[in-house]
Amino acid sequence: MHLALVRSAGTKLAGDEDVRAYDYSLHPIFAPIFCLQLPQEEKAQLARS
Amino acid sequence: MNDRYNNYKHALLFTIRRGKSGIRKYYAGWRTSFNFPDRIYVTYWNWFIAACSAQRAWSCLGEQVSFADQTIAAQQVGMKNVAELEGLSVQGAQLTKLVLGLGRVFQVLAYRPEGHSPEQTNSLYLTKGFLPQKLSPSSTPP
Repeated sequence: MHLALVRSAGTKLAGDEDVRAYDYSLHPIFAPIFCLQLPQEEKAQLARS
Repeated sequence: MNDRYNNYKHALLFTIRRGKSGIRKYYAGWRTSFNFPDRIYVTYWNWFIAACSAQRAWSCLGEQVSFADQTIAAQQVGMKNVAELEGLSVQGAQLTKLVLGLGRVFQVLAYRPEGHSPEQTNSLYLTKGFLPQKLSPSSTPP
């Protein structure tokens, strides 16, 4: 996605019915702007409200 | 409280400068420079040249670049890439807004560790129904 987001295989599934396949994170090159950590630690849920 | 300190003391280190100017977290060193999943060498050399420019002297090629200058250079490289996103494709402006929006959300989560683990949240996943029906992979094409 033009180095905007990095897609990786989904981890930390919450249950047997959880089928989410991918996690998305900002490209590490943007981490210094927002003081983010480079390796993946925790992930958030993005849901429609 | 003691357990929280023992478990997260490294992550909490980056939250003690709240409300103060200056660098909160340094991005320096070989491991950080080569932590990019793709275009690794181009990224590194962009970074390095920007670091030398931050010191305002090309004579620093034979000297060690300070951690602060490497961090400033990394931020400059990141901002340059954000600016370049807009011209990469038709959706460039939307990508720029996406990066700035998500980055701000993660930044606030990193700055304020109260209410969640201080380990920084920097990834997300999409829930079922997040995409509009016409974009959902399960929808049938017309």
